[in-house]
Amino acid sequence: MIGDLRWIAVVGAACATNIAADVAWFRAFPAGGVFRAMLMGFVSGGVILAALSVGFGMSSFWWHFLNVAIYACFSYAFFHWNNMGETGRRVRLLIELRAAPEGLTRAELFTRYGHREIIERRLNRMLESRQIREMDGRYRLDNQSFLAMARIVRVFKRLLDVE
Amino acid sequence: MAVWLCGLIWPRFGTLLPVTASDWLQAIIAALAVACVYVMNYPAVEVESPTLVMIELFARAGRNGLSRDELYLALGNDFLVAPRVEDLLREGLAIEADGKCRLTQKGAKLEHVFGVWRRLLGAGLGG
Repeated sequence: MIGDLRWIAVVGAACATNIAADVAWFRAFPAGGVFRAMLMGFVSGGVILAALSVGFGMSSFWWHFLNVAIYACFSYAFFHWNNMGETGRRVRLLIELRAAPEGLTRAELFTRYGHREIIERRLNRMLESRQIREMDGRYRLDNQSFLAMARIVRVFKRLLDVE
Repeated sequence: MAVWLCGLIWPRFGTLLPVTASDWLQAIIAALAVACVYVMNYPAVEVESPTLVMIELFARAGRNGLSRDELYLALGNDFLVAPRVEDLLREGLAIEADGKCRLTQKGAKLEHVFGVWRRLLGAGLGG
């Protein structure tokens, strides 16, 4: 017995909407940043998921639960994928090396993409998201949420012995 | 597989198992999606995130805070960039010969995947 395969259409449409809305939002409002576009993509996909789930009139709790779980996992993985492209140092180094087929010395690599740019980009992101504030040329923590995240990551590092 | 075996061993558990092929497929995709989330988390734990390191430095500095120059001094290329270059070499995404780093075919393919996505998004250089 094959059963009802409509969940594939529901989840597929939600995931596709997430990607399409993310791209459309970022192209329309690039100044808003990648993370706002991802949030819009997630919300848009969620609306499609809910609308189609209601539209198909399925009453099984597990049917809905698994659809939501698959969509949530997809969104999380998509967030990481997007984040790697936006903030990944290795991805940026690959792009720099691709632009120089004759190769780059380490010093040349550091000139094209060095610690100052890495710090600068992160300071700007943290200021925009109000994680930190700047006063008299000094930066201070303004929000404890990232610190909590840093501590959780530190615990996982210890658990996995990757410190 | 583990769930299926549980169903065989403990018949009452079997009533919770999916019935149709569609149900099974949905359950398997959900399990794979959870596994994918775990795998996607690993690089974040494996590699030091500059943002989280900076947050920890700000927390340690307390009310005094940190200036840009103090951050530049604390987090140099040796900490932020050199280990990631080593990662590329170790993972076979780049090679180093005659003092120069070059992409391998594997590295070029990975760069292409991200490049296509970034162009589709209309985003500039990340990093």
